[in-house]
Amino acid sequence: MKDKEILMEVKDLVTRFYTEDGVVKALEGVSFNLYKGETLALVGETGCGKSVTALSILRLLSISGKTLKGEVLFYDDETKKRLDMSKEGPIEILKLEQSDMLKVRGFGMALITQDPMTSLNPVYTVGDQLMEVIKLHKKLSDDEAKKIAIELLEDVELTPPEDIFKKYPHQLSGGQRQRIVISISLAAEPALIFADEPTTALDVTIQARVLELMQELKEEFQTSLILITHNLGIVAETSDRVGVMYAGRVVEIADKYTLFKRPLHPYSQGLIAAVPVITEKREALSYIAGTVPNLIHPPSGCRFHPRCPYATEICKEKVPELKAVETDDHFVECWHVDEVIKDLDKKGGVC
Amino acid sequence: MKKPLLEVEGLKKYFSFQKGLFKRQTFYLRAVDDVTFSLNRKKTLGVVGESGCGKTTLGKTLVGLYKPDEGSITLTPDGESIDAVNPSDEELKTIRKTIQMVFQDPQSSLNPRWPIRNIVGEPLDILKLTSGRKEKENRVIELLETVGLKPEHINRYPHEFSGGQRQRIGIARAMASQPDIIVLDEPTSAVDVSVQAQVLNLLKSLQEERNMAYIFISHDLGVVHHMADEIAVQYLGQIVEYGDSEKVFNNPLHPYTKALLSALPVADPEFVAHKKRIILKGTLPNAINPPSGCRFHTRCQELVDENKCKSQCPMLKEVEKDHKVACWIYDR
Repeated sequence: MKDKEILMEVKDLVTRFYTEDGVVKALEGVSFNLYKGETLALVGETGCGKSVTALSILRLLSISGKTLKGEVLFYDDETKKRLDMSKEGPIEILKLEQSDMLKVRGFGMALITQDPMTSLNPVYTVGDQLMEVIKLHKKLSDDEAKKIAIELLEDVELTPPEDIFKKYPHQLSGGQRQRIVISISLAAEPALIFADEPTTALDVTIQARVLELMQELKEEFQTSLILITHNLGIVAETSDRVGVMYAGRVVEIADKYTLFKRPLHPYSQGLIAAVPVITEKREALSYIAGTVPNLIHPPSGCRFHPRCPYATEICKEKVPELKAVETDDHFVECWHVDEVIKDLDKKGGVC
Repeated sequence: MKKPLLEVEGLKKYFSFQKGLFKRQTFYLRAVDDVTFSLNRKKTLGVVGESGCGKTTLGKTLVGLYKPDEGSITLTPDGESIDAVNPSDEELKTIRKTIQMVFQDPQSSLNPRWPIRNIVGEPLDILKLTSGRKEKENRVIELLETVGLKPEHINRYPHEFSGGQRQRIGIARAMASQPDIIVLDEPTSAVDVSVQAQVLNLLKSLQEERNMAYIFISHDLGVVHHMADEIAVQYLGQIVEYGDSEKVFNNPLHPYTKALLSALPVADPEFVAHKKRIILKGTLPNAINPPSGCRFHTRCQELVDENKCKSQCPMLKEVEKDHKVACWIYDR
């Protein structure tokens, strides 16, 4: 892992939403690194802050949301050139002017949203929407832009591309629409793509093809991918590394083989054991007791402590730090990780 | 031989609609087309397939929410068989007591203006299962406790509950008449994995306690594998493969089942590393004008005899014990 180049460093991101009911403490110190060319999956249950992490980095939070603290360091030379930055070092995303941020989005980072029904504009053709992005980021004539658009449609296997180019979103199926969204996200050849539950709205057979396609295109365009999903199956199939999120924090991060085989945070263990898989038959599924906390009044200390079998006094008082355990790229934040390891070795597995 | 609890034969449900302004034409959407299976006590039949394959319509037809166009549904709860397609008023009550349904979306299947007392208590009133307010209240509390909710929840409204709890309310309502069969339509598709595990465990233990049979409709093959004893794979209204769960999962015979299983993301990276994936061509055809012959032939990766597959529809045939498949490959 060490020889890999870092593309983005996220440090201690804190995001709040100011709502009528109170302040939602959505992100409370999210930190992770992203390497060039890798797929990092962010997993966790609804409301754990997966999407908010992406939106905070892209600075696309709704008006009630605000990132109070943290740093996002983006190491992409192309984007730097685009921004005419002569300064040494990375781009500090959270400190950029809005006008520069517009250049970063699409050119440096792009977002594939969950629902292809609502992310395309219903009154413009597919072609218009693709050309808009291409022309925004590259100074090209209509004809040249159209050529690129057709090529992109070919890349995402929409045939015949000339026909698709003229169609409106409602004339296409869900799988086709998601391919369009993918092609738009690739239009300016960004260094990083966030894919927020890209296949939740699709059927399994279509999902399989879309995931495979994303994988192929990622190689071809040499982009990095942050895949946000709650489906551990998709994580196992497509990611390189996995970050497990719980209540606004990354609680464990490791390569996928380690994470599935040797999860060391009690929450990751619970999550993995709760998923029924076709490779083995279990009598009863284990589950995590209790429910996801309300983030207006999150638990003190380690936010997982009310549901954790290992919890002691220190867990209620102090937030543990994300530390390397066992290998230097397996990070866990837990006060009792030694005990967890001992139990795991005794049991021989989490399931 | 003892009759199975539920017997379904040649079940068809078509939806008709008209198109055209001057030249009125009637079209039929064949949601359920010639479905046959049987189900015994304590068993779970998993119905899988992609969206639009008619899984939910099958479930709704079984509980009597749709009237089938053809075919028979026979229930044998205690020795005597009831024809569930054309029941008398008296029989209809028995049917309602025998078969119940839990719906997919607990958000829209619970009346938002009713407290839980009424939602769970309504079947008790309609079927006259309790007499007097006190008895009804006790029964509702008992039902809430069986599904892991608390007695004080009785006066709350659906919006005060989480998704998992709402699904429990749906289960409590279905359990009110002490049914022998429950049709579960994607009961966990709206909840998170850890909640899903709780709901699935609850369903399994209730089945054990009460000798119930389940029809478990889902597109999540992992969940179906965990729950079901038998599997029916549905494609455009027809069952293409039907049999013992282990057999179907370990040795899928129909090309569609093979593709479906290979497309399923499995939460086990080591298994994934040496998995072969079959990617299907195209998308699910329109069920209004389904392809002729074998409906899967337009996407099939193992087409045996093009003419035959295009023109003739294969029947479900037993290939090995407790394992049937409708495909010309196995019919030579």
